[in-house]
This record gives sequence, structure tokens and C-alpha cells, in this order.
Amino acid sequence: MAAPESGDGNNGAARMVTLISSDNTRFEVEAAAASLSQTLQLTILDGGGGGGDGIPLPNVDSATLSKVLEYCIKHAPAAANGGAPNATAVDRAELERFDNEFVNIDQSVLYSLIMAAHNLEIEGLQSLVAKKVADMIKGKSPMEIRRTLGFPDPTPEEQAEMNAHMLEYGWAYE
Amino acid sequence: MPSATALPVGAAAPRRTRVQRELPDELLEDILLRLDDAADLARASATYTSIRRLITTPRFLRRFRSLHAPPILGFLDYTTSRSADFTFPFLANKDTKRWRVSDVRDGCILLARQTVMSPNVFNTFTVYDPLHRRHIQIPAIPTDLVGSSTGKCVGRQHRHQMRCLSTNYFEAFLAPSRDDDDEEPLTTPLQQLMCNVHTKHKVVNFRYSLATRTWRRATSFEIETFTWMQTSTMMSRHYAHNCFFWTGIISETARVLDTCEMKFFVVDLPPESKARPKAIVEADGVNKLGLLVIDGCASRVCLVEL
Repeated sequence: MAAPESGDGNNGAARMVTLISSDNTRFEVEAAAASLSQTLQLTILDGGGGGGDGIPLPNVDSATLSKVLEYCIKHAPAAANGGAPNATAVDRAELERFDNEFVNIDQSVLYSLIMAAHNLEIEGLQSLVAKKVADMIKGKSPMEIRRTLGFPDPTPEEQAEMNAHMLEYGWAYE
Repeated sequence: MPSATALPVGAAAPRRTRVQRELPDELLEDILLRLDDAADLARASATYTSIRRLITTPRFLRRFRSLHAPPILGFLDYTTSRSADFTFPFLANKDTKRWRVSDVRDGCILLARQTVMSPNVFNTFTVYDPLHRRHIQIPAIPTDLVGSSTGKCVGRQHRHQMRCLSTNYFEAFLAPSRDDDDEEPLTTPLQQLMCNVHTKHKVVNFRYSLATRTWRRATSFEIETFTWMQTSTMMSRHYAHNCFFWTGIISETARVLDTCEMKFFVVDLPPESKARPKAIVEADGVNKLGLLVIDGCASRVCLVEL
């Protein structure tokens, strides 16, 4: 499993923390990146996650965590600067390009990502995925929306309700 | 070494299986609030019970409306007129002449039924949503409540009360519901019914509560010198930033009803608006008011910040 290495070796002194996914894979990341998660930030400030210990994340599997950390590592410098002057237009454009490509993924991965962002309280990631899902819903039929949001296919009664809705709210289906 | 730090990270909820996948309400709300077209929202509400329940809560609708304000002007086109019903099917045929459209707001029409005695006194109201074909009937303001609130006809006989009332002027209108208002919305859009009763000496505002199904006196405003110019027939009503404004062409002032404080007061208008048609609007920025003045001679419209 590819545990992301980070730090870029710029000063070699960046504090590292270890996160452990639900399937027991260990990820070592810079504390600054992991701190994008409000939940993790508290633990890290308390000195957790360093040394041989790791922070277990029982609700996040390794595939999802790897994706979450990819986002955090990319966004950590901008978050650390807090929109400081050196965040140039080029940097911002680059982040935007990254974000667009980042959410261009399979629907089930999006689902796991937004759940992880919600559990770990990573506001930027949750907004990014929520916006992507909203964009996927736009202009779709109720059945397509249902699938996009991960609901099971309707029972005959639910199907009848959907048809009744279609008649009542005809304007929304033009 | 065992972990010394308490690690509640993400451990609050029990682990979900892959089959039972349902997004929590906070996430659904976060997603649905990002839809900017009401048609998308309507289609989403058809999909699943939990989504419909979420979307139809007054709290969600208010948040959606505040993020995606509906356009100021609406257009009736062929598709809308097919979906909406403007025949007022709930009115009895012989009765239709007694009803008149009193106000229109956020897609709802307020109909007021006039009494035989005076065209200015209403005895019942109906709020009608033509798109969803739903209506709510609302009783008249009890005559004894009007009598005691306007300071006349207390304890008199009903006929005498009605004679006094017929010299009053009734102005019924719809007001958007406020964010802190926990009452259920009147129909689908969020609003409440108000009625101003104008007498020679004062204007009394009555508000209908859907929760208690009763009218109550909300506030009043004393009039020093009565002129017909002050009655609402000669004034236009505007709504901006939780306040109603009444002003007329020749007025240099506007009477204001603050719907949060439920208080009437008067504001002066800039002199350039005198003798000109005007409207009070929401200007850019938080709580800023603008005065739109139509200058007929110069053929221009100017916006003065209040």
C-alpha cells in the first residue's frame, strides 16, 4: 500500500503523524496536512499521532484515506498561509485545476470521500464534494438523482409516489 | 506502548456497511442547498422520503430561499399556465364577483371577500397557491376585535359596529415570514397575512396566526391630521429589509412598519422625490435602502440611497 511520503525534504524537520485506516494501513503525513481535519487537529495539538503511536480512523478505509490525504497535502500550504500575499493567482488557479480533477472520480469514491470529510471535519473537502454531487444532480430525473445519492432502486410503492409527484409538479419536469 | 491519547476520531458513528448507505441529513442538506434551480430541488424531493422530509422543512426552505433568492419578476409562459390553475376552482360561481385580488407575493395570491355593506370591509380571506393548487381559508377579523382596537364601538350592538367599520378602510397584504418565526409556513412559500385597518385617527395592524388560527392586534399608529391622501388607496406599498413602506406621489415622508419590531414609524424622504412617483427598494449592501425616483420630465430613473 502506498503510504504517502511527504515533507518534500525542504527542511527535514516537519512534524510527522501516523494515521491508521480501518483496514490497518498506516499513513505517515505532515502534521500540517493532517490538521486540515478539525477532528485530527485537536488530537495532534495534544501531541497524539507521533512516534510509534498512530491515530486510528475506524470509519475510513485505506483507499479513501489515501485520497483524503492527497487533498490535504495539496491544500496544506495554502491553508497554512491563510490566504497570505504569497498565494498568487497562479497558485490559486493550480489549486482549482487540482480540485476539478480530484473530484472527477467514480461516484462510489465520491460517496466515501464526503462521508470521510464529514467525519474528519475537513470543511474544504466536504464543500468540494458536495458541490460536485450537486452538479451531478442538476437536470437529472428523480431516478438518476436517487442513484447519484446512493439510494437503492425504488419499491413499486415508491415508484408510484414518484409518478404522482411528476404529475403534481409538472413544471419541474419540462 | 499503548496509545495514551484519547482517540475519538471518527469513532462516533457505528461503522456503516456498504449495503446500508445513506448520507446523514447534514450532508444531504449541504448538497441540496447547492442546487440553484428550484426545478432540481423539486425533482430531488420526488426521489426519497428522507429527502422530501428534509426539503419541505420550513428551516431548509428558508435557507434555500436566502441563498437563492427568487427572481424579482416572474413570467407566466405557456408551460407555467398549463401547470398552474388560475380559475380559482374553490370559489362558488355565484360568489366570484365579491372576491378581489388583494395582494400577490412569492407565487401566492391573497383573495379578499368584500361585504355587502362596504367594499372596504372584508369578511374572509383566501391565500391561494396556483402552482400547487392549494388554498387556505382565513376568517375575517372579529368585529369586536376591530372595534376595541380602533377605539370605537366598544360594547355596542353588532349593527352599529358594522356601521362604524364601514367607515374604516381595510388593507390586507401578505408578508414574508421571518427567519426567527417558528410558525409553519402558510402555504408553500413562506409568508403571513396582515391587515391594516385605517380609521380617522389611527392605523391598526392585525396579524393572523396560523398556529392559533386567530387574528390578533399587532401594533397601531396614531394619525394627527386625517387626509384621504394618507389612506392606502392613495399610497403605494413597498417591502424592503423586513419593513413595509407606504408612500404617495406627493408625500415627502414614508410610513414604515418594521415587521421584526412590529412598530410603525415615519421617515423623511429626500426632497428630490417630492411630487414624483417613487419606490423604496433594497440597495446593495446589508440593510441599505434605496429610493427609486421616476423623473418624468428628464425621462430618467434615479436611485437615492436612504
